[in-house]
Amino acid sequence: MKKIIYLAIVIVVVLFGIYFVWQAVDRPEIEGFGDVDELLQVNTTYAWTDEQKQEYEEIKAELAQDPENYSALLNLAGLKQGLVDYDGALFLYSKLHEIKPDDIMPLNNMGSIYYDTKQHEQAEAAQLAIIDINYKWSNSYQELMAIYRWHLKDKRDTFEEKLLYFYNNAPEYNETSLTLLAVYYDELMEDTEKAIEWHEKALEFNPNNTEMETRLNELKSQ
Amino acid sequence: MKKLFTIGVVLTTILWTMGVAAFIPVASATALEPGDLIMKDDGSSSAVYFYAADGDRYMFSTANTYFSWYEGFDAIKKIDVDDLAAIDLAGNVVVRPGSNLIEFESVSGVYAVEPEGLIREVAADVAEDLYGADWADGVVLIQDGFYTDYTVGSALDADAYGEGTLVQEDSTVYYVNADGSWSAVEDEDAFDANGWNWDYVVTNTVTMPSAGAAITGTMYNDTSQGGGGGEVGDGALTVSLSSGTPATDDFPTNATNAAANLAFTDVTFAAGSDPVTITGLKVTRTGLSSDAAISYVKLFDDLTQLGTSQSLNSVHQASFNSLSIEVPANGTKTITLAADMTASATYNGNIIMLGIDSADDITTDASIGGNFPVVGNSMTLNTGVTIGSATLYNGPLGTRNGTDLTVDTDAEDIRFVQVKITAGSQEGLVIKQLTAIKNGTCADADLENIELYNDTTGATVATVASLSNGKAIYDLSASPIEVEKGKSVELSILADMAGTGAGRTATFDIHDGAAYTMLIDGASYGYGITPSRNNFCASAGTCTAQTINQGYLTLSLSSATPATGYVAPGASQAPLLTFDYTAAGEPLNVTNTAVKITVATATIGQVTNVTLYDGDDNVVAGPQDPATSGTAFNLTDAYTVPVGTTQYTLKADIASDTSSSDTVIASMAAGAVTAKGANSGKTTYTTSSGSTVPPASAVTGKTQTVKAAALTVNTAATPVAGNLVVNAQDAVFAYFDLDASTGGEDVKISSITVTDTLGAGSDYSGVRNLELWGDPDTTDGTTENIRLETTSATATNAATVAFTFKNPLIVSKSMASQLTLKADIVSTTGTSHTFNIANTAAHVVATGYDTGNAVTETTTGSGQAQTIQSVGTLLVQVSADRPSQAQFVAGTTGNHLMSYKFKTTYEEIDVTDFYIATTASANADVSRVKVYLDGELIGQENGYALDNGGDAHVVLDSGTFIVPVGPSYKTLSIKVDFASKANLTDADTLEIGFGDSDGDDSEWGATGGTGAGSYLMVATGVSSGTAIAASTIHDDGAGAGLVSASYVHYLYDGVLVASLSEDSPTGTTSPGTNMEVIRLDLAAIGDDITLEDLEVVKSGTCTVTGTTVAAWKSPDGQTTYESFTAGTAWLNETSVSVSVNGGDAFTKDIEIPAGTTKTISLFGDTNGCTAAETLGFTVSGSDITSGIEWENAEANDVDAVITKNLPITGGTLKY
Repeated sequence: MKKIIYLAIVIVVVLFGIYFVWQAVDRPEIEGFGDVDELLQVNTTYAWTDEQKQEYEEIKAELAQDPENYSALLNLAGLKQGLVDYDGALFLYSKLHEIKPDDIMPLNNMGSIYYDTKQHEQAEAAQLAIIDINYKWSNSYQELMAIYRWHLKDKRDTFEEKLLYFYNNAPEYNETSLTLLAVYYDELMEDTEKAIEWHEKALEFNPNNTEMETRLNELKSQ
Repeated sequence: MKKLFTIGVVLTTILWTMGVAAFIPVASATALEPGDLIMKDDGSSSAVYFYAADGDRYMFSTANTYFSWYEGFDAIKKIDVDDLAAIDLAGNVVVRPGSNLIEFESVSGVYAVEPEGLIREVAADVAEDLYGADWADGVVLIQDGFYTDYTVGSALDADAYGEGTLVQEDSTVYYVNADGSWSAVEDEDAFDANGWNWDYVVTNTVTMPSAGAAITGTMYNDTSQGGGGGEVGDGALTVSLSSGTPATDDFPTNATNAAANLAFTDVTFAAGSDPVTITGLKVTRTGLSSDAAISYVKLFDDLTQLGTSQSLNSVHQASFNSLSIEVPANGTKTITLAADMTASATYNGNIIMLGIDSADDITTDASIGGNFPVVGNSMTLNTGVTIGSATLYNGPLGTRNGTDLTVDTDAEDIRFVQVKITAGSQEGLVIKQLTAIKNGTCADADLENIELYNDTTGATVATVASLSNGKAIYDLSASPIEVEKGKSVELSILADMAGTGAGRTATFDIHDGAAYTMLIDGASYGYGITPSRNNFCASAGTCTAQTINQGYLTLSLSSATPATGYVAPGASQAPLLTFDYTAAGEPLNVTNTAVKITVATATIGQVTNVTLYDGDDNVVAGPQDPATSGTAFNLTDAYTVPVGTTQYTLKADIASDTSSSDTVIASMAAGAVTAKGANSGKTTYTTSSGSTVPPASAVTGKTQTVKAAALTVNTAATPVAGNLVVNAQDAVFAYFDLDASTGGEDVKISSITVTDTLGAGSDYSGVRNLELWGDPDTTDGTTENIRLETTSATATNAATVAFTFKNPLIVSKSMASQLTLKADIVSTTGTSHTFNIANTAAHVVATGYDTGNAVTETTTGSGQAQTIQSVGTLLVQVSADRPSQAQFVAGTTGNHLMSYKFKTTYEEIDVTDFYIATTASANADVSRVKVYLDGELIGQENGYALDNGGDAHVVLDSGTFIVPVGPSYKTLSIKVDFASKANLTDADTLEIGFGDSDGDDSEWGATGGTGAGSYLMVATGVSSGTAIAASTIHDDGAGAGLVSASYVHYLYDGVLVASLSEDSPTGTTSPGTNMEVIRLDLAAIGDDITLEDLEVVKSGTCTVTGTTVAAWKSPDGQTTYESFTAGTAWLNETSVSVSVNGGDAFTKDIEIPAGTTKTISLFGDTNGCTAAETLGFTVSGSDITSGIEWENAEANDVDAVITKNLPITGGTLKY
């Protein structure tokens, strides 16, 4: 009888010991990000594709080796974004942006999340931050065009200076900047005179833009 | 003995209560109400107390005392010991007045008890006379210890009962009042309400004195006898001395200055459950003093003086009548009895008290209770100190103080009075209240916005919007006007005239006929100061009344007068002239209105029954027939023109035998109106003080030309020829303009027939349910657009359709009308329909509205063909701002790749299904594709994945994507989220767009060009409900068309974006060695980037001769990436290049980690450049594909134009 009691006591002690040891073991954390296991949680109601599952495993492995693997964290954010875990994605992107403030990728993807979730002020801020870092990122101008054309209509006049800077300082993107300026003056600012001027410039650059030519004729006939 | 006595008292007290204790219920202190009987609940014997309204308790000292008030113990409440102790013991209850006669243990005599413990000895014979032979049976013993609760008064005589006695005469019970009068107790309810006992009613044996006010409710149940009173009964008023009554004080007054507005006594009036109004009050002076010491007695409700100041009469009373002191139900009102003292040293030491002597001195409908007299504390006059003075002068702007300058009824900010108040040398002044009292014959409503203005400071003190009982009261206590001693302040009373009161007079006095109505305290001594007049207004206190000027009338041609136009022959009461009367100051009684009718060609006799109408179309004068053209004739009917502007219209009948082009003009000559002020009775002119009879100048109507009714019916040029789609409801086919302005009267239309002309065939069935919409009556002043009801159906289709109106349309001759023809489209039969109103007799049936005469009709317009289409067309075109060719990075989202423009013809189209296709190799590169309609994400929130063919099928709910009819359009954009580096194939290309007829990219043109084909889409006409043929969905919408996709875009794991650094050198510089000539920012996006080739090309006029080393370095010069050895004028070379691919190598690789930017600069020897020369460098190649080459981590060498970001032109250096 005594033996059984001693055995029971030992078992209990051992179990407690295991628990305490488990509690004491360091679980991986990323400074500023928090616990890695929590970071790897993806809140979604959407079905995972096979590619996403595989990518997730790869990310897990990379973070297990190096919890501060920037590229893996960036991929994890993209994965969450793809599964519409926008809060999780935004958290990661914002932390990555703190680590590498000049990396426009987190900003770019944050901007698209904000746009899709109708947070247009934040979307605008993200795109403006991108062109502040690198004024040659042409997609930001496309996004800003959409923001000012359909949403933040009262801020349209603030876009002109940025578009003109893009045009004047990135000649390799002139085809993009010319069409944007032509549509900007035509559709957003409803300035027929300037719209004609920039449609003509755009056509001069690319005479094959038949849509631009059609619109120019319409403007001239007004 | 004393001990025995004391013990006896105590024992008596104890003993009588012991029997009480057993019968008492328990209560809590919080449940007590004034009038309750209470004792402590400690299980022991306890005295009984009366809980009074003052919150104190009064002890029933003996049983006899208790039973003189109450018959039993049922009403006694037990309360906690501590609760009882918390209630102050204020005194003993005395035997009830008029109840038992009392005697004391060792004091001789029998006494009748009167209120507040006044006892009057009653001799035996007197008692027998007054109370009957058995009077002694009603005598009760009161212990000597309680003798001091009573006050001995004069003995009773046999001819009068004591106060408080209940005396019965015949069937009426009377209560004996203090003044000896008897008040009848109205009924048994009133008897019971006062808690009286029939045992105490005595049969009258004396001559009845005068009658007092009847007792109708609770009045005499104050058991505490002045210690707080009992509960005030219904319809009753209780009067008491306020606990806040001013304390005894010395009041300063002497021959020099007399104190004013001194508060003597605060009296509190309490009402029962009904509010009480006090209309009169008499204040009595008592004390060792003389009436002459008081100049005036005043009543105050806080700072507001009630009534007017009154002097004391021969019985030392000041009577206030016409008061309206409102005491709220279950509430109280405290009034202050105050006085102005007489400026004299004679009354030094006078001790003065003011109070209300008896209930009879209060005039009210309520029954009055309370212990009278209600007298305040005594005040003693002290002549030893001279207080300040306030002297009143006419202010410099007070021109109206003594002169009537008259005032117009619409004048504003009239300074009626200005007073200058000067403080004496003794002390300054604090003006804390001023009452301006209207004087004159005007009504209160004639004045508004009465303003007290401080002319000294130039600020408005306060404004009263309207007078209240003729007064404007300014309470300045919160911010009094202060005047330093020896200084002055000038105050004005200004007011606006309210537009009425013509003929009356108005002014403001600061005097109530007895005293000035200002509360002025001395700043040092704090006593009220009696203002004294120097020359302010009149000595009687009145200022000069201003005469309010009479009203006036102007007349002018109204904007509503009939314009130059037409009147119909036979017209009845055709309007000829509308004019505006503007009356100011008072209504004006017009007794004669002279008008003229001038005709040309027609005879004057053809214009009859000239009548004047007011704005409501009521006849005010006439009718009269003019005798002579152009000569005035009188409309002598009287009418009253109200204050303000009103329109009047002159109308007349036009004979039916007048000829076309006969003309009629109505007019009024100057001075045509005779009127007098309704209030002033004075002759009315065009100004209040002028002499011009209105109108000041002639008023002439517009020429009206006789003409029969006419109607122009025009089928409008809109809607223009166009297309309508089958199944459209209420489609607009035509507008019809109706214009009767070329005729002399309004026109009534009873039917309209419309004609339908087909484009082909003779089958009219394609269009059904014709409706006419419009305003059924354009003469009634309201604008409507309703379906016009007809008596016959218009549902059937035919070449002509008649609309016979249930109620004829009325078209005003001064306002055109437009009708709209609508119909439902059921088929394309007939191809097109053109509707108009043909120029055919009886297609418009109309008559003159007044005369019923025939109308001259003119019908024009042929209408426009509306072609019926079976379905709309859908055009899908490339948007002008389609994204240009660009490079994209793996892992990026929201990338703009393509946009289309959607337009339709004929009807809106609902797009519900389409394909997104890509070039086949892009399948794995694309994570998700999202579609946006006018900037809004549509379809699946997380986008669409591409299938194995690189395509995605988008299905939308109906109504999500509605394309409007052109020229409006919708923009649909396609954005792509790219796969991560692990899945994206570096250097892949991608085209994306709508899937063609196969749902893929097979029909697309090359590199963003167009190709013949159509888009595979499901689209349905919203109106027609017909599916759009897929083969027609392309850029043209009909027949054969073209399809397009995006430009070819480049996809990379990472890209280099090279740009000129903002710190790149530019501008004026000097030649030298190791000079920086260009600085570049190299940004790696998405992947680590290594520079492979870098070449710059020289430009400018400078010929560089320096041959020292040139090098690519970090801007700080610390890191060298590549050196060009000395001996060559490197910066004069056509180009300076490093080409790893060409076999060169950088001394140190230019590696840019992903997400970072590296800055590098070219340094070199610029010697040889001389003044005015320039030098510049551009990153570009000697041919288009060099300049910059780089590779990412995939080691793919990137040399494509789109990725090179070239040229990068550095700043111009000037020497």
